Amino acid sequence: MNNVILEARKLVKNYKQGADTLNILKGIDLQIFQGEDVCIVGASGAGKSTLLHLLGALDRPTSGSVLFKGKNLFQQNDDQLSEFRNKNMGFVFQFHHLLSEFSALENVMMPARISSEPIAKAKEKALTLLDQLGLSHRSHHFPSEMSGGEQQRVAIARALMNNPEVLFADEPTGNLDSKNSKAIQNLFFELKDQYGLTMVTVTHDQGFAQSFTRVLRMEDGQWVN
Amino acid sequence: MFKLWLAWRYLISKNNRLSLTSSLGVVGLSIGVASLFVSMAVVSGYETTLKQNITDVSGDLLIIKRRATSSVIASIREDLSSKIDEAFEMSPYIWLEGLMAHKGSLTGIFLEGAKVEGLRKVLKIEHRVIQGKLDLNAIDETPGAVVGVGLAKRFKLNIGDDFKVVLPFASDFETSGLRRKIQSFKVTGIIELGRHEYNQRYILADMDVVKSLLDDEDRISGVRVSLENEDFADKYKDKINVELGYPYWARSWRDHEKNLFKAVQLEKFVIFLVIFIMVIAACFNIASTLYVSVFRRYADISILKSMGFKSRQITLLFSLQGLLIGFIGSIAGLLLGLFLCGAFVALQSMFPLIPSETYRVSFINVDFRWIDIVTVVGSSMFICFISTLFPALRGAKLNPVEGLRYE
Repeated sequence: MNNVILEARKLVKNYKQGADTLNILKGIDLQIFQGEDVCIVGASGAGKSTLLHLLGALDRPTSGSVLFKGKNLFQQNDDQLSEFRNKNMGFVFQFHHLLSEFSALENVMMPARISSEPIAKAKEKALTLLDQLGLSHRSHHFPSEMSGGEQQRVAIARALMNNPEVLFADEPTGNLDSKNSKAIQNLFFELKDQYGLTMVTVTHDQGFAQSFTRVLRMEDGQWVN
Repeated sequence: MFKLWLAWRYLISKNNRLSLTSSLGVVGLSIGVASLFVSMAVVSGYETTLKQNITDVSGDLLIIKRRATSSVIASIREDLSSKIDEAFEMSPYIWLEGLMAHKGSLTGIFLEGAKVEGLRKVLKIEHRVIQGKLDLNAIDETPGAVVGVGLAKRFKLNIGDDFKVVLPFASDFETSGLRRKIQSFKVTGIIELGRHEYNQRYILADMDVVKSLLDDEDRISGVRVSLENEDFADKYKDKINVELGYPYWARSWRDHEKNLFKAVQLEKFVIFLVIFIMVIAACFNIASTLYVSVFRRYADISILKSMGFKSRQITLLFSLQGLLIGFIGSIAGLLLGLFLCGAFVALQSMFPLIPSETYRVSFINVDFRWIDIVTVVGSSMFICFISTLFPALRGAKLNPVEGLRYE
């Protein structure tokens, strides 16, 4: 638990909006330890998702740095960052964002196919994951043929496909009913333990937030004690 | 392969059919490609038909030797062998111009004297005989002659009919300065020569009969030569004209319609350019389809990027989609073009579509040349690729975060 896996140093993110500049993140510092589960809460527009995107190397900060195991991520070019995300990061979003033209199995296999893993091997692993998440009977179904909860479980399976070190989840239960929401919450912690994941989650759900070892609150682009 | 599979899956909907927008792009392109393909095939076909008609009837090379006689044929063969590097056949001929008289009408004609056996070696006219046969033997002591179909039609000549040929010769002993010789012939065959002016004027008779009409009975006009590869005719023609020179004079099959062949080449190029504009317009249609596709797939692009897809792979993904549409459109266009070409040939055999007085030929075969097919498909796909590059680059530039914000 003592190894810092992810560290944010003085992260600033500004957006231009016409002549104005919006300061979304105002110098965020953060250390996340290996195997830790961290929850970031805060009102809409506080900058939670922006921080998550920066920590996940999906976007570049205006200033500041993000270190993964001591290495500054943003010194790498876009292609290197893409490879980095493929190998080390898993993402689950509020709107699951499954690729609608592809079946559940194909969606789950996608990260492995991107990293040029042999199809047979990728398929075997994807089927195992789907089976583990109780979706083996849905593997050839398309997202439009599945319920919200099922879609989100497919998205979780996809995020785990390449054995990431860090799993990022942005409002993963925000679009689900309470029953499905509870099931997904439990699933996250089960998978975290099973795969030894470091988990960083953004949520509005107070109940879900209370399940985390560490809860961080954001307001107006800054931490609130 | 993964990217190609991904691009293909993005093109087709879940029921394994091309999506409507892609289909419309394909239809537009295939119409353009079909037009391009048909026009190339017809122009190439015209060129080939014209060439075929000339080489069938006149041979690949025509060698004229001043004051040549039958006795020097062996030396002509020897001279030609030294300049033509491949096996060739030759046949002597006599060419005269005169008048044909029949039932009170007159017309100018070309009278060719040759031996049937020799002609069979150098020309392909046997299959062009549409009535009677290629036989120049005398019937009831009247020499046989094969006449052009236009001439036969004009004078209502049938097999077995008699007609007269009048040949004028210059003479110092006549007050008119002219002397004429008249010879009767019997029609043994009617031939379709493929070229209007030949059909209207050509009469083929036995060499010995034609020789007997000349003062110098041993004289020949020259020899017709057939080569293994008629495309080398111009090369050998130049060699003969330059290296052998006078009294030899060579003409290749191309020289018979030199200006027409040049015009056809130019026309082909211009038609290609004009119709290619249609293909370009169709490609813009595909580009706009793809542009919409990029906008519709913002979330997909973002999620693919979050999973490690690189920007240039996004470019490749959408360019491949464009290329796939281009490929499907080109293949569909080729098939449509094949159908239209077949219809064109079928219509020609049903109705007289081609006025031979204008086009020199009465039937145009379509000719599918590999170079034409490769040019049409290659250029269409290239334009497709170029036009899809812009939306593809737009997709690649997308920040992964942008498409993830909203559903």
